[in-house]
Amino acid sequence: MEQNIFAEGLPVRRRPHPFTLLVFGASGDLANRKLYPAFFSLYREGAIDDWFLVGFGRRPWSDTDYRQEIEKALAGFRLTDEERQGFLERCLYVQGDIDDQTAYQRLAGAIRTDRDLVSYLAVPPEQYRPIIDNLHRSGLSRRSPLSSRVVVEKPFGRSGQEAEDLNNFITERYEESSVFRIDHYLGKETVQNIAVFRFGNGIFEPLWNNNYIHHIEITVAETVGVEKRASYYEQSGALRDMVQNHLLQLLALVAMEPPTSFISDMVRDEKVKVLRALRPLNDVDILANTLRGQYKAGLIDGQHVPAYREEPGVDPNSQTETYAALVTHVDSWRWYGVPFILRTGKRLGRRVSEIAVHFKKPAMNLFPQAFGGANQLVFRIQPDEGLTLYLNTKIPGLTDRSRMVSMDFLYGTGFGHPSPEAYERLLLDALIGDSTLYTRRDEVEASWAFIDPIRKAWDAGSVPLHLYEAGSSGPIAAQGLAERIGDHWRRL
Amino acid sequence: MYPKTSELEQELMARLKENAGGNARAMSATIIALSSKAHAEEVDRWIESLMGRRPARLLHLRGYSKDGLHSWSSARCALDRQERGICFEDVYIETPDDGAYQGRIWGPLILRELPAILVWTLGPEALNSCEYDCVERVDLTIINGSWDLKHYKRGLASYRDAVHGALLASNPLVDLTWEQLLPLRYALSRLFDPPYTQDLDQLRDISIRVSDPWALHLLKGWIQDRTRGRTVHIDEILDPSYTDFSGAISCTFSDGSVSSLEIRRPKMAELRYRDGKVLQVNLPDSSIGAILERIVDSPVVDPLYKRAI
Repeated sequence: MEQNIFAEGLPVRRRPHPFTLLVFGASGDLANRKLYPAFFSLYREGAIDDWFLVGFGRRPWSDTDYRQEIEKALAGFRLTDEERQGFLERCLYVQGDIDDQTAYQRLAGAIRTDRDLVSYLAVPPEQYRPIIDNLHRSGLSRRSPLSSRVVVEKPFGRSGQEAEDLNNFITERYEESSVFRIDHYLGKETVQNIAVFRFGNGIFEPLWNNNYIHHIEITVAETVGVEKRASYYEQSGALRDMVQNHLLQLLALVAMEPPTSFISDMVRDEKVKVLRALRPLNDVDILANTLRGQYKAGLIDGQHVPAYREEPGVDPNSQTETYAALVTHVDSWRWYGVPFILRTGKRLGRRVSEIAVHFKKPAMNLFPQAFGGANQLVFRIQPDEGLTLYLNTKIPGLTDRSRMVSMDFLYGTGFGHPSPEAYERLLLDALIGDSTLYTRRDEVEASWAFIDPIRKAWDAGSVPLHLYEAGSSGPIAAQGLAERIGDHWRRL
Repeated sequence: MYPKTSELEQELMARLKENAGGNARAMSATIIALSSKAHAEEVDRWIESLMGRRPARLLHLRGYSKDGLHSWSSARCALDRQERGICFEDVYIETPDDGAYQGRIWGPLILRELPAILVWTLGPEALNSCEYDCVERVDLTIINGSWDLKHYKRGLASYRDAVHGALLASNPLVDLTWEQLLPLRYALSRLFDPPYTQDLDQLRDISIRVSDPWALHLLKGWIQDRTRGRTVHIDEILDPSYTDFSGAISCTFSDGSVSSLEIRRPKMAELRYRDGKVLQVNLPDSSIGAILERIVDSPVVDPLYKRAI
C-alpha cells in the first residue's frame, strides 16, 4: 500500500477519520455533564475537524433547540462567536423513540454514508438491546469499508451470564473490535501512568513481585451517597457498581506482565491473564475474606446526611451494600502469596482513589526506635493525582531515630499544564478506533467469573451486612480483613 | 566583576514565594535568551509568548550594554484553569562587554534536572565557533532563520551553509521558521491522506506560495526530500500577501487536475481535493508560544530539518 510521504516524520497527531458521532440519550445527564464538554474540548484543541454530531432522543426538538441545549452544557467554556458557529452548526438532532424502527430509518437518512459512525449509548443499560438491534436492522452497525463502532457504559450486565448474553447479542450485530466498553477510570492520567511507571522505569519492575511486595491495597472511597441513582443502585450495590469494573481493572493494571508492545490487544491480553488468575473464592473464603456494609446517617463535611435506607427511592429495609471489601490473590508465579486487599464505599470520610503497594520490611531491623514501617508506593488516582514513595529516614539530631517520610510527585504541580479529562481521552480513542483503554469482552467475563460467587453468597445473605456511620472509614469489622494479612488499611 | 548567582537564586526564591505562595506548578525548563541589546526586545517578545503556557526560568543575557553592569530578578505568575500558578522566574544580566554571554557566568543558574534551551540570535558562525562556552551547557539551541536572514549580510546561500555547518557540528538546533511551517506541511500531508494517497503516483507539479525567503527555501527542500525518486517539478513563489503562519500550496496531477490548500487564518486550512471535495481542517498552533511550549515539553531535534536545509 502506498505511504503518504508527506506525513512521514510529522509529529504524531492522533486524528480520527471523518466521522459522525451519534449520541443516544442526547438530553441526558451523562451527555450534558461529560460527553458534550469532552467533545467540545477535542474540537477546541484541534483533535477533530471533519465530523458531525447527531443527537437522538424523544424530545420534540429542532436542530436549533438541540444546539441551544448543547450550548448550555458548554457554559463553562466561554465560547467565542467563531467556536459557537463552527461547532454548533455541525450538531444535528433526530427525534424518535428507541423502539421505533422508522425513527432509525430517519436516522440512517440523516447520517452521511461517507464517514465512520460512532454510536455512543449514554442511556440506561436496559435500552442497549433495542438500540443496538435497531441500529443493526437499519444497516448502521456494519458499514464496510467504513467503521461503525458502539460505545457502551457500565454496568455491563448484572452477572456473568447477563454479561455473556449481552456480549453475544452485541457481537451478533457488531464486530467485537467495534465494541467499546467504557470504564472511565482507565481514562484517568494516573491510571494510564501505572503502565508507564512500571515499564518505563528500570528500577521498580525488578521489585514488582512476591519477593519484595507484601501486599497491594486498592481503595476507591467516595463521600457522596447514592444521589439520584437509587433505582439503579438498589439493583447494583457496590460490588457490581465498583468492584467488578473499576477495582478489578486497577488490579489488572498493577499486576499484569509487561506486554510485548503497547497496542490494544497486547495490553488487554495481559490484563485478562491477571483476571483469569484471580483465585476463585468458595463459600468459606467468601465468609472469611469478603465484607459488605451499608451507611447509616452521619456527618459529611460538617453536614448531617441521611442513612442509605432513608434516601429517596431506596427500600427502607434495603439489604444493598454501599461498602464492599475483600482479600484476593492472583495465582501466578509473580504474585503467588501476595494478598490484594480491595475496598470501596459511599459516604466515607474522605474521597480517595488510590493503589498502595506495600513492600516487605527489611530482613533485619537495625533501627528499633523507628516510627514508620515498610516502604509504600502509592498511586493517587484522585484527588491530587500523583505518586508518593514512603521511605524511612533518619531524624536530624544526635540520636539514631528514624521515621517515615514521603517523596511526592503531584501531577497538579509537577507538570506545567493540567491533565485532560478522562472522558476526553476515552472519547478520542473511540473516535480513532483505539480500544487499548476500553475493556474487552473476555475481560468483562473474567471479572464476572470472579465476582459471581461472591454476589450469589451476598444475595443469599450468607455474609452479614455491617452498618457504618456516614463519614467514617467504613465498617469496623473491615479492620479484621486487613489484620488477617498482617497490616491495616491506610487511613482515610 | 559579575553578579553572584547564589544571591540571584535566593532572590528568585523569595520573589516566587511572594507571587505564587505554595501553589505554583513546578518549573519545566530554563530558557537562556542570549542577544545583543538591539535584538533584546524581539527575543523577549518570543519568550514572553510562553507565559501562561509553561513555567520556566528565563535568563535574559545582554552583552555590550551601554548602561554598564546590571543584574536583577523578578517572578510573575498566571493562573491556569486549575488555579495553579504558571510562573516565570526572570533573571536579567547586562554587561558592558560580552561577559553576559559567557557560559560560566549564567551556567550555575540553569535548573539542573530540567531541559536547558538557548535562544540564539548572534548568527550561526558564532554558534559554530562555540565562542562563549555556552552550547555545551544546554540541551537545545533555538535559532530563527527568517529573523537571522534579515540581519545577515551575505545572502541566503551563505546563511544556509553556515546553518548547515552548525548542524554538521552536531549542534542540536531548532529553527523557529521550520517549526512555523508545520501547519503547511501538515496540511499538505492531509491532501494525501487515504483515500487520496494513491494520487501521489500522478503528482507532477507543486507550487508553493509563502512570504518569507527562508521559509520558502525550507519548504522547497522538504518537498524535494519527500518526493525524491519521483519526477515532481516545484515552483517557488514569494508572495507578500501571506504572513508568518500563512501560505498556499497547489499540486497538479498528470491529468491536469489540481488539489490545493490555503492557510489564511491561524490554525485553519482550507483543502480542495481534485475530486471537488472541500474541507476545513484544524492545524497545529504555529504561534511562537505554542512552538516554545512543544520544545519545552519535548526538546528534541527534527531530523527532517537537516534534510530540508
